[in-house]
Amino acid sequence: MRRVMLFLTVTFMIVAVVSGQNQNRGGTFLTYTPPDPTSPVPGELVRKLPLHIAMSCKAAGQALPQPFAGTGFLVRIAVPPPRNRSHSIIWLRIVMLLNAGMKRTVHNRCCQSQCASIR
Amino acid sequence: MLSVAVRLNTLDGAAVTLPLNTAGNANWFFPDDKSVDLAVTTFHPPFNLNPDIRVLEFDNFAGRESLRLHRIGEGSTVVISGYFLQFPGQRKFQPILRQGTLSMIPDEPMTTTTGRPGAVYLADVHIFGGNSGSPVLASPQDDAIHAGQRWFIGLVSGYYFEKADARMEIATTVKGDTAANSGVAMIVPADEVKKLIENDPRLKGYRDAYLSGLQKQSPATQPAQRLP
Repeated sequence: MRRVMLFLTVTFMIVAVVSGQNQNRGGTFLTYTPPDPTSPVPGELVRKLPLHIAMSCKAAGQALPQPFAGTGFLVRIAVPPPRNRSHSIIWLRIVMLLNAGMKRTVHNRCCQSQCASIR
Repeated sequence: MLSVAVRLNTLDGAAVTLPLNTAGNANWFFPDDKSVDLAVTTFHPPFNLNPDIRVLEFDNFAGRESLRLHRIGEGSTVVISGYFLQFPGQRKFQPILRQGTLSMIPDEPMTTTTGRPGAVYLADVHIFGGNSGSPVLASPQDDAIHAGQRWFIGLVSGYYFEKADARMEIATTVKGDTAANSGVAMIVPADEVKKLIENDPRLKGYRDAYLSGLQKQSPATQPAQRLP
């Protein structure tokens, strides 16, 4: 039993040393590298995705009373699509997405006659 | 005349409001499939702007075909982040983040917020007016190595409105009605977003024009500055 305990202790020490060496390389299954406390937590990064979209409508030179607000976000598109990540990529600077219902509602309520060009 | 403005945060801790169009002339792109509640426009922030925002790429998308690959399914945790009607922020834009569960990935068409049958997901996440258009991110359920990763699975379209007799009806998040919100949100799948951006002929033409403009500006064809 003592031999087994000794073997396990030595094995544990070897694993600890090896895994300690791996810490600088980002950790393994046997190690836990705590996150850098100065780095943003994931939720902070998610909060950087949305944009505030404000829509309003002017009819006959006067702004109609009910402006609309909603959320949009940006998607970056590679142009042309990259075959390989290492290739140089030209990025189209972004399309913005939002909910069509919001846009249509504003359009239908406020701008039916004035905004004929907008679907 | 419809005017649209975007308010976004900058690295100096403030927010700027950028008008997208001043004369009702923004380029809007809609899906051919009328059941899909989605609108896309192009956006060119000024070069001297230092936006404090994150931008999604197609690599962040998890389409229906890749949900299993990313270990996402019914029961996965989802987060949405969007406009908070009650406190949009005075000095800077203050988005709200809410969490829920991906509750249904139906394999047959459902009536969408447009009133037509189409492809949607349902999520158990409480949304309300202003959250319309919010990106929805999902986490893997059983992949310990990739725990903490989030994939873009779609955007908020509307929610089910619960009536007193326990019937549920679809409402958009445009009106801001929060009473009797059932907490079941409708999500436009990421596939529809990708399909629209990749396949819209006008958007393709726009990209070509943008690319040729870049080449004219710079013979060396330097990559445009990437946003943080």
